[in-house]
Amino acid sequence: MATAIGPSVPAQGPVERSTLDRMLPYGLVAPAVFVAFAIAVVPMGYVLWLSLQDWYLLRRPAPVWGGLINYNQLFHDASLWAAFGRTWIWTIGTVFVELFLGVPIALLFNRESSVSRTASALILLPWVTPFVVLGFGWRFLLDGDVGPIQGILRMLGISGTGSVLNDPVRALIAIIIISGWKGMPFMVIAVLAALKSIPKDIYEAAEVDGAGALRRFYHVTLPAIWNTLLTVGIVLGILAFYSFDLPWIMTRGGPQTATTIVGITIYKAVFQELRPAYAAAISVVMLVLLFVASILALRLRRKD
Amino acid sequence: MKLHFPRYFASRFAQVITCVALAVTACANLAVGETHIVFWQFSTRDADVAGWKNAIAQFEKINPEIKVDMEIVPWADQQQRLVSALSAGGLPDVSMLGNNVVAQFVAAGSLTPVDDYFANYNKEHGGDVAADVWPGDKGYYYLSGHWWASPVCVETRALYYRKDLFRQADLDPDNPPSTWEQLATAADKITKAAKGAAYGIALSTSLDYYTVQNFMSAYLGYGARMIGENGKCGFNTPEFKAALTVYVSMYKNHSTHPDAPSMNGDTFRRGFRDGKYAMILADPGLYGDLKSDNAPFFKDIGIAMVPAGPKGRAGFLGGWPLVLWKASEHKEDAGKWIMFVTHSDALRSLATAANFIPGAVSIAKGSPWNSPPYALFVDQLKDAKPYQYPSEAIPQMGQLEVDTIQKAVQAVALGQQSVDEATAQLCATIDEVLAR
Amino acid sequence: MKRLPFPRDVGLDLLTLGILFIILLPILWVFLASVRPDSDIASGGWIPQRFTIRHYQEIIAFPGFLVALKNSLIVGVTVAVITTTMAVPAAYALSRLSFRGRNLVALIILGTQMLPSVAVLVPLVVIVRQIGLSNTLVALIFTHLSLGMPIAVWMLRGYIERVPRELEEAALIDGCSRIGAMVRVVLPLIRPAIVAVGTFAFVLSWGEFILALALISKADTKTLPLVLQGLFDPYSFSWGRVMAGGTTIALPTILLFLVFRKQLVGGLLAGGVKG
Repeated sequence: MATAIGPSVPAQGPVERSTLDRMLPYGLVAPAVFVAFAIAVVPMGYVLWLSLQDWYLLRRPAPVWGGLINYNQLFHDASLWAAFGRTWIWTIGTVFVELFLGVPIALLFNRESSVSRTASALILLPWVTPFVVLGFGWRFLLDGDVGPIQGILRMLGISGTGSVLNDPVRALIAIIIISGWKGMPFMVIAVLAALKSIPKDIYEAAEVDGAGALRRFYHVTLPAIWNTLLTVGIVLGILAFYSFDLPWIMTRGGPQTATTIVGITIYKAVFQELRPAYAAAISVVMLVLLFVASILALRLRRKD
Repeated sequence: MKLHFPRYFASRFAQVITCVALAVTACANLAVGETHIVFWQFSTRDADVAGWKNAIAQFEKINPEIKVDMEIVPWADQQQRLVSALSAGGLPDVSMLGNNVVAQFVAAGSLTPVDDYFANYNKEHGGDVAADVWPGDKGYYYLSGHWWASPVCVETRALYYRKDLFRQADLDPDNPPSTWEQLATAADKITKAAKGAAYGIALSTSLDYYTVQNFMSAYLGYGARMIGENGKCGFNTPEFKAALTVYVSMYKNHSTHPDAPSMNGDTFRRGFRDGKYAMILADPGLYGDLKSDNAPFFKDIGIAMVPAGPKGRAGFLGGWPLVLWKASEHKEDAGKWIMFVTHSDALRSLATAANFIPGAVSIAKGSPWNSPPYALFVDQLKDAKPYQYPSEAIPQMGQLEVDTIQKAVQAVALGQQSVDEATAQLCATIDEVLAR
Repeated sequence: MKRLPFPRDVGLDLLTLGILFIILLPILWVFLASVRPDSDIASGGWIPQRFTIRHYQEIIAFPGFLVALKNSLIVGVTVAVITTTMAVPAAYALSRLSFRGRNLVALIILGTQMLPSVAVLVPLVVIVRQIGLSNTLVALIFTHLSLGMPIAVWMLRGYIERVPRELEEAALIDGCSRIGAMVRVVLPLIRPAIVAVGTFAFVLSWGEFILALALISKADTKTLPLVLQGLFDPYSFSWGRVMAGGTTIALPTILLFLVFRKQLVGGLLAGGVKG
């Protein structure tokens, strides 16, 4: 996309790449790659190795070689695949709520007043308040007796006499909404940063051309923030995928197994069932599936 | 990037000095022959921590070459910390441990028996420490012919009730329910009489631990047992189903909070302190809490034994011991510390300061546990039993107590399964875990 | 820069406040609970009648709390700074430069995000113990880098890609080096993104619990989430105190962000890029 260069400038042939130039990219990415290796690749190697061991802490103090025993068990574990299915619903639902709440809020807060600047800081609160504490707040709001939100839901006929957390389907929906609510600030900040970099004169030009607010959004704003939405959506999706705190604190994975997602399954496998090797195998499989899903999702990127 | 030479050398100098200082200190330690025992303590309450610090000070006075390094690992974190340490290293010398997971860590081969330390203590002080252990605790700590833990604290639940709400429902406040059926009837009457101001009973049917801590009194009282003679699930019996039915009936009759299938135990406890419930099965500490709350109904609080079933009364058995980890390199000294603090005056002071019932029967018979409200709890302790009574403790108990039984209770409460279906599924789950 | 007509400005401000109020309702409950006596929290109705600062006094006096606050701040700020310092060059290289192995590098960095902490917990603990860095903030800082770094690189790459290449080309023609072009041309334009990404890294580190629990056991190196757990006693705990703990953990992040919020406004203002 080079602009025309006048004849007074020497012709741009292939630039001769000195050694420094060639090494530059590697130098720039080196620190990040180093961290990735140390924190992720190396431990991942261990996890891979562990997934091939037979290690049930109650039967063996140390692991012994097990080959594909964990993977075999994994593929036949119905409860795991049920949890997996739920986790996809959970992940997509969460991201959807984050988009649904985050984008309009970012648009609203994208102004120059001190109110909107302060609001952009305060909106972080759901994300930075520890969930173990927010759980109390949400439980009160949903309390079957005195909860205000429960009262509204009952008026709308969505809820019965007990809290929504008593019902498997409604409990899952409720904590998906709560999960989205918690992650929404991340989306708001990211979209705000993207919105701030759209030059104002494009908007002005569109307005001069007679475009209304909705059309301005569609033709100017949306294309500009599309990649941001996709990227943040994928990132938030990955974060949501392994959620543990929220479903554990709100419902302990219940009622029954209605809100047991993969994060809970892995946690239980390690700390309660004492089967670290099995948990490792689950992690490997989930990693691969998540990876594939992300690559596919990235295809939706807009190239400009 | 310019190196600021003076700063650079100053920091290097500091590093060298620190190394030398550390080396000197280490040598000094070695010279004096001091051993350090790492002790993981799970309570964060001020009174408890002060009590432990006191005990440590006493111990170190008598044993100047031993230093006990107490590390506070909150109860909420201890399971994770221990399992991580099991897999990755870093276990302490001594720690507290949940009473029903001792078997689990024994099976994992990570604990050392304490028989020798018991014997040494008996030799030095006379008496028989093993005989001083509460009968229910023996089921948790005496496994395969060895003692694996020395009890510190025991706890059981009793029935707290509101005499004023009893009177309001035309029930005799001095005659609280003594069986589960009477409990259900009373709860129903009280709820109706209170007309929305309070619920009859704070009964949990959720996946929280609190549910099984209460429900176990029911199934044991009805004569059901978790592990049958054949080593497999023993719940699939009419006794268990009867217990399950009467327990859940209290939820179905609306005698408890409508959110009971999804509420935490601490919310129920909070609710009772706020006056929302007429009855609750709770620990001795609740009495002290109610007193400090200055609740208007405090003078109307009565405490009764946990209700009995047709086959007798069975109380919840809580508490924790101290255990000695196999990875310890100072077992002799660690053993001394364990025996010191879990017996005689040391235990008495600790238990008084931290407000718990001591794990030694002889001490618990003395003051202040022979006066209200403790007296009743101490009396009930003779009926307190482990979850798997009458079988010996199983290593998988830690896994099973998390949510297996609770799932059955919750399913029936929510109407998702009938009592028969829930029981069948419960047994299937238990057998599956036992077979791993 | 056109200002909106005054009533519309005020109207949007009011709408902002209204939406903020609704969204932050649970937070409001937590905050109110932290200043009410325990018995009022669950049963005292929505409108508080009695107030107390006792919970906050107890929190500040709670052993290790102030130390943990300091530790969390040190770790959080360091992680934010190092993460952005590493991520910007990496994102720039991945976005602007072509080199062999570019896709592989991108995959490795981004793949780091897809590992749950629980899975890599044990090997990380083993490695940290071997190096002898157990119970140090250094170990925690290093492991926390992995939390935000992939997100940072990924997002910054996206923002950098939207900066028109002509600007750097112009600088390069003027004799600037690549790094110079990156620092002088691109960085200022993606400043809001850098602030956003630094904030993420800080927040992710601030609230991180599982790794902290595994790596830190000594009281003087504990971080805030660990200390918060200490407020929960299995038998009886003060709800108000827990809420005060939660609020105290949430506030510093907000305050830091308020300080930096001006940085979020920036980038291409009116004028932008002329053909």
